[in-house]
Formats: sequence, structure tokens, C-alpha cells
Amino acid sequence: MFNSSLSQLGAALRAKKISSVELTQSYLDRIATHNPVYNAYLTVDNKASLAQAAIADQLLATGSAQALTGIPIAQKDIFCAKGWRTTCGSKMLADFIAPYDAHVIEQFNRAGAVNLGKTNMDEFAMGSSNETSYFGPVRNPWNQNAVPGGSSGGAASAVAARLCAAATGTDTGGSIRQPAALCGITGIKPTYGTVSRYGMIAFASSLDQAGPMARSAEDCALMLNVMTGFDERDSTSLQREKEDYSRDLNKPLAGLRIGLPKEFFAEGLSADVGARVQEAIAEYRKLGAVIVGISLPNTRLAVPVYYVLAPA
Amino acid sequence: MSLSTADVQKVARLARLAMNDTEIEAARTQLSGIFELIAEMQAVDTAGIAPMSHAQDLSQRLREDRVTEDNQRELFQHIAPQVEDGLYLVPQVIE
Repeated sequence: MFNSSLSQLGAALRAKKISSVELTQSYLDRIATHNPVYNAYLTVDNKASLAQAAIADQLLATGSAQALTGIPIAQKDIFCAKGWRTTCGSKMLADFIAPYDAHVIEQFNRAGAVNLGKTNMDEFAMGSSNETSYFGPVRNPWNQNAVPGGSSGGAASAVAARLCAAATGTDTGGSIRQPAALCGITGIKPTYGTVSRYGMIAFASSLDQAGPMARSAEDCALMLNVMTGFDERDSTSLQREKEDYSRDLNKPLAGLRIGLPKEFFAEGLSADVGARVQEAIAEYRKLGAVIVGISLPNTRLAVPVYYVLAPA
Repeated sequence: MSLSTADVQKVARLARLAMNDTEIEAARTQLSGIFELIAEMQAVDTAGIAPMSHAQDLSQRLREDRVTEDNQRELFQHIAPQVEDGLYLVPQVIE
């Protein structure tokens, strides 16, 4: 069950093979057993999660369930969730109980998903290893002596350790993509403006963007379907048609052109990481994709520009 | 440009940070690194490149000037360590 995809879990819930309360309780038990080691969650509230699960079970019983109804989702502790402690990984907010919901939290509530808990992160999302959390570092489930990456390290660790069905993260300069890579899961930083920043504690407002962290592209697509949408409370929210991000999941890759910037395969790339990437490229070739060598000559400036702009 | 030990000591004093010699030296190296990043960018020829202020082509959304939020003072003050007559009480920091 803990290895099921979101669509499999949704199907099992709608077929009444398992209830949301049962599913949520199983995850809460698993968190109670393993979280002392991984430190992926900062706050778990069994009562609140199970109450949401009971509401989801009513929706499931009346046949008004959506794709994620009843599914337990871990929320990064950067999102305000009404009645939940929201610390952003900082001692300054150690006792802060959010009085309102972030837009992302509202969207999951509307979809009938269950908030399984708040995940650990670098303090105020400033970090790339999860070692700067006031509440202690997060462990990488693949190797407890390794960092999970950051700042969404708790989310990445929770997904990799199967302590949630899927999770949310936020990304300013890599905070979804880098921990997703370090924990062997899938994460997306969506186009800026796609997901509302309302109720999401800011780091660098013109770069911050929330996105999904899950076990597959399919799961990320289902998460994005819930998270995205116009919100007038975020002045940079994009006004555009709601998309179904799962629409191309079964599209064959034959003929798809994939560009490989040569600057990404240069100095500083570890041999083992490079070898795995080459294996993935070979796999894409087998599936019929066309690999094209390209050049992004200003790549080396990205980090200096980021480090000057982000804290500005 | 790189900072001197005296520069860092001055900044630390202004920021009211107690730092020992080892910490001053570590901070000096890191702060100087930021100037190196800026120097790297300044070395790039940007002649003829139009400035980009934002990744999205956004315009400021305007709305009618009307009340959109209820007063939730009690809810917001509920989590404050100390309040009195609707005001937040904070420790005195200026004599």
C-alpha cells in the first residue's frame, strides 16, 4: 500500500477497499515508528488528520470524491494551515499557530485531501541540506549519514521513506528539485505564477514557487492539478486556463527532442552521478527520443546571479 | 574587492554580533566571496541586452477600494504571548 501510486490509492478508496481513516491511520503509525530517525515531520496532529479523513470518507460514500479525496499529503511547514503550528523551521515561529489557510492548503482541502502533517525544512527555506532547521537535521532515508537536500528536505525524506502518499515543497533556487534528486523522488518547480504564494512564507517573492514532490511524474501531475489556479490574493498569480497536467502522460516519447546543455556535463559533475544521467539518456534514446547537444554559455553565471538576487 | 579584518569587525559591532577571531576570518572569506560573485557578473558584456524586470509579462491588477477582510483582531492576538486592551505587549528594549 505504501508503494501505491496516487491513482491506485484513489481507486482503492473509491472502490471502498480501504477507508481514508484507515489509510491515514496507517501512515500516522508509520510516522510514529520512523520519524524519530528521519525527523522529516515537525508537526503531526493525529486528531486533525483523522477528522479530515472522516470527512473524506463521507465524500467517498456519497460518490462526490475527486482524484485526491481521502489521500494523506504532507505539507511543507512553510504553508500556513489554519489551526496548525507553522514554524518555517525557525525558533521565531516555534509557537505560531496559523490563523488562516494558504491558497495551496485551501486547494487540497477543497479536493478532500488529508493534511498528514507539516514537514521539516531549512530555516525560512534558506539552505540546501536541511541542516539549518532549528528543529534539527533531516536524514536521507537511503543513507542516514547523508543529507536529504533542502530546503524541502523533510518533504523529500517523507516521500522517499513512504511516510506520506505525496508532499508539497517550495523552490526559490532549487529547494524542490535538489532534495528530490538527493532522495530519489520526482519534484517539479512549476512556472512562476502558476501556484499562488498566498499564505506561503516568503523567502524571495519574485522567485518563490510551490510545487509537488512525489514518487513519479504521474503523481506530480495529479498534485499540480490540485495546486495550480488563479488566486487574486497573489499579485503575480497567472490568469490562465486551468490545465490537466496528466493529459500527456501516455504520449509516446518517439520523436521528442531533448536538449543536453554541454555546460551541465563539465567540471564538478561526480562520475557516479554522470553515469546515472547517461543511463537515463540511453533509456530515452531506446524510447525513441532524439537527443540534441546544445549550449547555454551563460550557465556559469546562474549561481552568482542567484546568490546576489535572492537575498536582495 | 575584498574586505579587511577591520571591516568585518566594524560590521559585526554595528550588528551587535560577538565574534571571535576565527569567526571574523570565516565571515571575511564568505563576505569577500560575495564581492567576487558581483565581479564575475560585472565582467559580462551586456551591451544591447534589454533589461528584464520579471520573468512574466505582468501588469498591476487593480480593484475597487472596498473592505475585503473582516477585523479578526481577537483571532490574531490569540497566539500572542501577552496582550492588553487589544494591544500587543512586548519587553521594553529602550530605557
